[in-house]
Amino acid sequence: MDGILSLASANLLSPVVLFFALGIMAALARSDLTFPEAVAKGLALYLMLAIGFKGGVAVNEAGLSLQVISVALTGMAIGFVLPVIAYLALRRTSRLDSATAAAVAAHYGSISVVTFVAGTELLRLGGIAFDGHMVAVMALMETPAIMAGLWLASRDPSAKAQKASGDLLREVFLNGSVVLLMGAFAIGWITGEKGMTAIKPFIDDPFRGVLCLFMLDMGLIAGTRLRSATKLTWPLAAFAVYMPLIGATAGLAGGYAIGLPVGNLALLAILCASASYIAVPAAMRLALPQADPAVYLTLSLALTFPFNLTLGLPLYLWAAQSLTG
Amino acid sequence: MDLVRRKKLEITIEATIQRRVEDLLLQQGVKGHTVLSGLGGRGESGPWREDHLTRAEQKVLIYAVTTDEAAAKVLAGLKELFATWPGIVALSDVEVMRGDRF
Repeated sequence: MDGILSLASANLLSPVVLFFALGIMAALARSDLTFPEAVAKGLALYLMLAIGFKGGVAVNEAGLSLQVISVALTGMAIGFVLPVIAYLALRRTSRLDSATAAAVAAHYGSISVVTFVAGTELLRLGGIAFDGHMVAVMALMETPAIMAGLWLASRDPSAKAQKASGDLLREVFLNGSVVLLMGAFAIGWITGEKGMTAIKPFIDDPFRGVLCLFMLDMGLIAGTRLRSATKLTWPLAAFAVYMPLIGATAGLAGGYAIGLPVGNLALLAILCASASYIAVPAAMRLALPQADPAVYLTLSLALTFPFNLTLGLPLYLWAAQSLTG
Repeated sequence: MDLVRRKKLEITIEATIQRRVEDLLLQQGVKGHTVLSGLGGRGESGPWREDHLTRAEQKVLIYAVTTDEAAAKVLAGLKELFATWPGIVALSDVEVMRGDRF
């Protein structure tokens, strides 16, 4: 318990979390601190490339185990189930319409890349090993929840769910972040240690600094959302905290059942607890135009992400450690 | 100076359906258009700001000059799109040089 408390306090006082807090405070105080769009996009592209590449190199070194299939199937199955739980919880506890509830549910079944990265940083801080193939698992877990969300919405005609179109399929499967993440993963896998040596000064050394800049930008966006969150009610705010706990529990149960080691188990729990804010929002605008983006973006980005980043990550890691002894 | 009367279309839509509207313009014979990115604003559902992370609320303005016939066909297509997605279209009379290009 002492170990996890010191890890939790080290996490709270890490540059990544503190830069995020700085961004939130700057936005709440209405500072004029902003990131030019091109810079912010560049940071996101760099992170996707670095995360994917490093994961691929790790798989090249360690080899691909059968575990990757079982963990990917488990993660994707949870990605289908979580939106159903989220949808039922929202319809029972809040006054959200069915389209918005289904869109929120899809966000909570999908994953957040940055939460995953923060999780890997916490594991490194605690000296806990994990496998590079978890990056591929993460990419595979992005889309099942979108399908589940659309299925939930299609059950109610008033939600006006759109039929799967070319635009939607392109958004879901060829979303820029997914393409870069998987592409960089494949390149890392093919080139291995040789490739890593060639681009290490770009991929590895500046990674944490760039992550801090990205977190600052995310803090600014989250703070701006919080400031204008007029549609936030107590049941919705509570959902943004208990839903990641339900997700983490599902991830821990599923990961424990297939015998994951502690590092991978914690990462699966983190993925299941996290909510998307890059791939899913654009897909939901296309597929569920009646759903209110102000609700799903505020919940996933301004509430659940900070909760996971500060309290959730050490909690999920502690639970994974307790389970695996 | 030879000026020709044409119609100007100013279409404000969500970035997610930009491709659909561009396809519509092409199909209805609009020979050219320009897309501008929105920075922020206020509408029926409240204020919005450009958000480069999620882009879920991103708006774009599509600007085109065309003939009366093509403009009417585009309006009919937009009516169908606007039954599902939010959007604004403004049509105005303009005079342009080199009218054969529009």
